[in-house]
Amino acid sequence: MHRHRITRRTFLRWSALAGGTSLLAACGGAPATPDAHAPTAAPSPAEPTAVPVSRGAPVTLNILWENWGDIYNGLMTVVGENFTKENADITLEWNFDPDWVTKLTTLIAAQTQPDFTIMRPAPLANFAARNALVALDEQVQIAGVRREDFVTPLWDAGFFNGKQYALPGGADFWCLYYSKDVYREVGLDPEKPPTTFDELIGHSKEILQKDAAGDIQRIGYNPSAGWFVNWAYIFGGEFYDAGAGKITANHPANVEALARLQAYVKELDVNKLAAFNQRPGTFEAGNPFATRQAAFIIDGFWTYEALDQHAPDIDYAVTFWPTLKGTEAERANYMVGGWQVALPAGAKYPEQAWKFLRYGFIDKSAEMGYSTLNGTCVKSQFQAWEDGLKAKMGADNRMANYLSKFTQTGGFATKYFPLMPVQQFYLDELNRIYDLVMREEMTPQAGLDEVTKNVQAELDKALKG
Amino acid sequence: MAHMPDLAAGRRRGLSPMVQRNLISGLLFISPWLSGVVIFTIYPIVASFSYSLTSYDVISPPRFIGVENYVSAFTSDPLFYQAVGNTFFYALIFLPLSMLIAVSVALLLNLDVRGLTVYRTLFFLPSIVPEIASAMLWGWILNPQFGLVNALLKAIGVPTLGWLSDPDWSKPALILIGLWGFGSSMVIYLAALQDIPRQLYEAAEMDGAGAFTKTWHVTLPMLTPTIFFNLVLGLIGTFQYFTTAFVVTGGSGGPAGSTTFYAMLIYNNAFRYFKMGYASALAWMLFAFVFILTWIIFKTSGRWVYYEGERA
Amino acid sequence: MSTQTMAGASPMISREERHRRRVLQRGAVYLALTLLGILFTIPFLWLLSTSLKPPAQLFKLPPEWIPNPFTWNNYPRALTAIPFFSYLRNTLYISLFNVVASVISCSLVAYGFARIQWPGRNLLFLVLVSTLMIPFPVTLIPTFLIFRDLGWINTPNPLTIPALTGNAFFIFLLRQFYMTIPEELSSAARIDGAGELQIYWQIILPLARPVLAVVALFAFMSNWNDFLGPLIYLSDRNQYTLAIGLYGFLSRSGSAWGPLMAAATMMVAPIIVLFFLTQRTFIQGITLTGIKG
Repeated sequence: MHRHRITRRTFLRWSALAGGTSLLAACGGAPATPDAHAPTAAPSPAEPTAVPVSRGAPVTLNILWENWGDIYNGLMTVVGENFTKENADITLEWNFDPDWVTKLTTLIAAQTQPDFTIMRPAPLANFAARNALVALDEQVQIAGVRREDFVTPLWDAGFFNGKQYALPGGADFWCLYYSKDVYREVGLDPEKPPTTFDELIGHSKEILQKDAAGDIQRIGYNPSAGWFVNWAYIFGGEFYDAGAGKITANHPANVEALARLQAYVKELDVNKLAAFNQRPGTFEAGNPFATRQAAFIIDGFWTYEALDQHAPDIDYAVTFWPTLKGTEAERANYMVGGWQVALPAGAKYPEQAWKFLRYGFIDKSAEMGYSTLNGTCVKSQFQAWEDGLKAKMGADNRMANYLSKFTQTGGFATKYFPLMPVQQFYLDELNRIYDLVMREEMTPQAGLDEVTKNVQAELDKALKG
Repeated sequence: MAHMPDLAAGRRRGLSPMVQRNLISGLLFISPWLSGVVIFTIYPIVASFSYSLTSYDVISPPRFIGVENYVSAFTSDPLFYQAVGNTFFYALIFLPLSMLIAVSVALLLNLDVRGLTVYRTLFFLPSIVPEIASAMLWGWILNPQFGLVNALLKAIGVPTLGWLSDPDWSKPALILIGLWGFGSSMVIYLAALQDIPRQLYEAAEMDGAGAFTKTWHVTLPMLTPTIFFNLVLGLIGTFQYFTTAFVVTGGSGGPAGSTTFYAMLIYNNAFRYFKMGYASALAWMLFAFVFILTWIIFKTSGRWVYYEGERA
Repeated sequence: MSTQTMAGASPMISREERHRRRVLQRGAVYLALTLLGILFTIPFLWLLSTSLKPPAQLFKLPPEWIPNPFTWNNYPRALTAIPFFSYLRNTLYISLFNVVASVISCSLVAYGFARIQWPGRNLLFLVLVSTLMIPFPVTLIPTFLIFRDLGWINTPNPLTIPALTGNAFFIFLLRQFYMTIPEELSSAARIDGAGELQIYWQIILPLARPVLAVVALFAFMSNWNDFLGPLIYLSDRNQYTLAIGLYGFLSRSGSAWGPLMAAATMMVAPIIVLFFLTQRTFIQGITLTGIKG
């Protein structure tokens, strides 16, 4: 669901195999029952939906979804069942596919497209550029929903060539988890987490512990390719000049960010870091954060569930992602990722599909979010979402007081990876070069120059075709 | 072909009745496959070839661009040469090694070994583990820190290795994983060994042949049709090698591009980058290459493959 | 290669010497096989051992072999992640259909390629082998279009019906075997007035039993483990197969080694059972060929 990027190799591995989709963590212990939520009035940005209607012939909507595992798939279908309760003439048929991009491509090619689909920014432009998705502008206008009502980066990440092809579904707000236990152990003040990049690296250097063989035994910040783009934005970088159609991977701020990360990785030793990262990930027992061998993780709120299960005795706290100077103004450089919802063009029941979109992901966004462990995208529902989650996790949960950090992050953030038909290639190229730069086979400048050149060539071809 | 001395003569006067009868019954026997080709195979093959001459993203109609896809593989794909190199590295080491091991073990098992079923099962077991599962298992066994292999190396005082996270060791590690599954071709050899008539051995024994002589002069020649089969299919398979590397390295082709294989390029271009035209061109270049190799093997097979059923 | 040790049994040497050598040679063979056997079994035991370990024990250094305490928890976790038995039924249907269809169709087609001489045979055979050389990603979508036009999407048909037309891999394999069967057997039967179908049924098929067992086993295995086909052609969860379920489970579980290894073990176990069952066919094959020789 959320895993836009996970520090774990395995998740990258699997998300890659699943055709760029992201994946869900190991399912938590007892399945959370859907009726455990406190009933909350979810204020909608516009007027509430109409009273139950049941006219017209019964319709079954085909829905293509990312496979989140039985527990979360089940919770998602509950959202659909609730919808059917209010709209007796519309039932939903879910298809959970770990490789939904390939599936959607195939279905569209065969003109057997589903009525409703999950979407992500990376493949979105490819579908939108070929008019394979319904432009939603008209419906959005009629419904009276506005960009300002939403987490804007995820809204913008559905806007391509002047039209809105996807609406926000679940937002990934990222914050910095830190281990107060490790802070105490090292003699750092557990109430003073890092607020700047320099502080983060400074603390990490104090925390870093290696054994005689040079193997990492305790690590502070654990850098990985997946977060490079976020850091680059925080450094003031940009990746695309949409007006000029120019790739700007070698923006000076991007180069600076990559150089700083490279310097840090050099101290860790890239091979020792790779070896350290083969430990279990955050969602499993024995992960380094749980064993107090890692001081930080950057992740979304959903990680609380795994930490409850695998690290019940860790004293952790959550703080904002560090910036350059630690000012609030810089938080506009935060990125938000996540998934979206879209309607394939040429499907049978666009009206009913819109109805479900409106219900599940706008009107009931908070409820959908807290019941399926996704971030709500509707700003006015932040509070309802936090309340719902608190009821679900218990008010005394370690995470309960930090939920607002995540929604605030969503409020500050303005950045998203720019939409273009070659986005997946761009991201893959960045990952490839990141690895080479960390291994010091290329300088940051040369690496990002190469990305710029390669992606620009592909983009020119794609725009020409 | 002893029973058809008149084939050449028949050609001259049109087909002789016997050749005609053979042609009809031959075609009848292969008719299930022929109909399958017509229904399921021809169109996709022709379609993919025509895609290779177009710019095609699957969603909108293809646009003809001639051989541009073929040219750009050599001129503008940053991964093409690395992928070709990695694929050759893997194929050239893995294929001979796996064939050698499979034939040797099958021959050893054929020496009237007691406990044959146990050994056969032991060697075959790994090859029935689904490829994805075996990739995960080996990722775990080769884990630099908690893995079994490095623990063994440590125990005997040898420096441990980074395996799949070290660019120098990632391909050898993948070859190791592949070799673990040699059992499937071994089973084919075993079946072939059971088909060798006892009388051939008896005749050799009467000539005073020892076990080695028998193996060299009876068993191996009789195995050549199967070796031929495994060679051709091994060639086809290793050049399309993909799944294990993809799972083990996260489809990233890393570390440092050391596990970017040719088939992975095809998959990524087709389904991640929406470049079906380019992917098809890559696929057809692979086809041409493997076809030529296979054709050479077929042409030379008369010299080393021995078909008892085709004895003149 | 240990066959080297078998070299040179000269008839000149004494009986005792020969006996001594024989024992040594035997010993060497068993030693080689056993060492190799252990080597190949270790990963498998590690799979089992990992699947039965409590999470904390996984990351002990040096690694421990015996789970302490034994824990079965990973298995229910893997089992409940998917509706095991309904997926099992679907998988069995597809796999068994493929076994029966492949054995029948491939053995017929291979006969046409191996035991009858006709003009154009070798050319068509090369075509058959060539169809294996095109990587699947580029034929996947056109193939999907065919199945759509046949109205087979969301039915198991794309995963079963094509088996009736044979499979190039198996046809090639069977052809290689048929071609090792002496031609005299066929020509003698022809002189007795037997038709090709009769020769196929009464002579070739019985002799090809070992390899037919291999075909059956491989057909079962490949369908059992196939996840790409079901993933593309099936949308209805009621028709999903075990491989999809386990693939989904594996893909979501990252490096949750315990449950992963449990899932892999469950996937493999039925095939082991099948292998033991088909072992009998292998052995029957031996006796039959014994008679033949």
